[in-house]
Amino acid sequence: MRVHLMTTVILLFNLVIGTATGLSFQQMWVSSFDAKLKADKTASSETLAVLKVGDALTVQSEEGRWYRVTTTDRKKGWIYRGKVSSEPPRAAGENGDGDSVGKLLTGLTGTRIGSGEVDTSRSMRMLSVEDKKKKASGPEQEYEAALESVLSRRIPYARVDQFLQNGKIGEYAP
Amino acid sequence: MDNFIISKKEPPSFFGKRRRLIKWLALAPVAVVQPALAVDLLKLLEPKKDSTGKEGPSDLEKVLQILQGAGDIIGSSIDLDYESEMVIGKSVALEGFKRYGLPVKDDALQDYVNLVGQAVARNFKPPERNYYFVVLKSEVFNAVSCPGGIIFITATLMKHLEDESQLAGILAHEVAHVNLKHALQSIRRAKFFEGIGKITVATAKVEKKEQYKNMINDLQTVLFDKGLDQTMEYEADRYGMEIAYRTGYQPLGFIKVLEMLSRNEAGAVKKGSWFSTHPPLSQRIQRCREKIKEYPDAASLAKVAPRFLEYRKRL
Repeated sequence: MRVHLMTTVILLFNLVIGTATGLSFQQMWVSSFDAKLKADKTASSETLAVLKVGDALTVQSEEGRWYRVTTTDRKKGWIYRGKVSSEPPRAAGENGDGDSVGKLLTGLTGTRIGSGEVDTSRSMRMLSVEDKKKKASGPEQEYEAALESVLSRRIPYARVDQFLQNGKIGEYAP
Repeated sequence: MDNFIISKKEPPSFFGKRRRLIKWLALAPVAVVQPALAVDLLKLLEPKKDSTGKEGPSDLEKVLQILQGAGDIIGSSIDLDYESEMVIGKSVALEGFKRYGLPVKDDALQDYVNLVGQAVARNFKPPERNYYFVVLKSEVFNAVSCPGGIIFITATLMKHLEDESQLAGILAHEVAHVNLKHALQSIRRAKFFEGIGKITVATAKVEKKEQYKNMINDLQTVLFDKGLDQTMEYEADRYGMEIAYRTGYQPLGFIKVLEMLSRNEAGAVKKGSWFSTHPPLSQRIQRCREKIKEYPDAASLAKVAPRFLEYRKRL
């Protein structure tokens, strides 16, 4: 009886774990913007695809700071480890069990702009055109001009990549 | 048990979990003979999405939302959209200029700080959010984040840093505050938020002018004088180190900053500074030192001192 019970438990365990893990490769999710699927485990290799935050990946192997992965549309390539999370990203501020950073790394809810449309150059103005006509003079105007200047600074992602490459940082590290 | 230490610090090593792999391989035949069930269970593991393909609240979250009630102030302040946050953030930023000083007039320096900031921020930001990093002319040691994503670092603080990993650590800490909406949570009970779904310039400047002014004053008090709740600071420390690490900077850089601040605390201006708005440094250093144990390869990551020092000279 005890052997039978044990066998049943093992079978059930196998069923749940086996089915939940599919072919047993580890699942991860893209957690950074502009995450690139590379042909090899170097940033200088060909970019096969730019992945979206939240895209699921199956990790097949790990080498150094890189994972060999397969995307859901069956593309195979390499991704830098800092671009993925072991759990699907959730909205910022949304609390999940265990408070894992992986869960919170990037929010997906409330999005009205696709990641492909976004770069760091988007900015919003402090005042509408009408408001600008009513701008205060003196120090107030100086503060507002300073804020305008801050919000108009443009840093395209390509520059950030170049900057990281020059500093040999992250995926550009030797 | 330290509630603020997170359980997972780096992407898990695939081959480091050999035992689990062997177990999974042994179980693979079960998955093969049960393909339909496997597909269903895998679906359950995927992020919940609504009909538009966006993530939606779970049933439990929906129940919680209902229980909280439509007029709940916590809900209305935390759920503010990006544009509303920016309306508030810009008002706070203007007050910040008055309090601390105007931006340093050096485009190359401001660009540099933005590059470091953008590099870390893109590893931790919602799609609709932008960040703006600004070095302010100020004699106090501080870094402050306004709602929406306008982040200040004072020239004095930057002058005392030694490499880029330290700057990245500070900026990542502030990015975490913004993304976790810490400042807004701190003033969530402000009268202004009652009945507010979206904030526009008209709401702020005309319809609820007085209440808006009071709310901005409260935010200033939190950000520039009193400081955020200690738990929020510890949370931002953890996330900041994680973000810097993911970007490729040594997370130890942030601890070095805290140690430097500790050395300078005695003779520094306290009002409006890091010292008056953040928890005791010794406690934070201790917690961060615990956290860094989770990054065994941390010392091999980038510090980038020469480039940083070139820009620091400009201050």
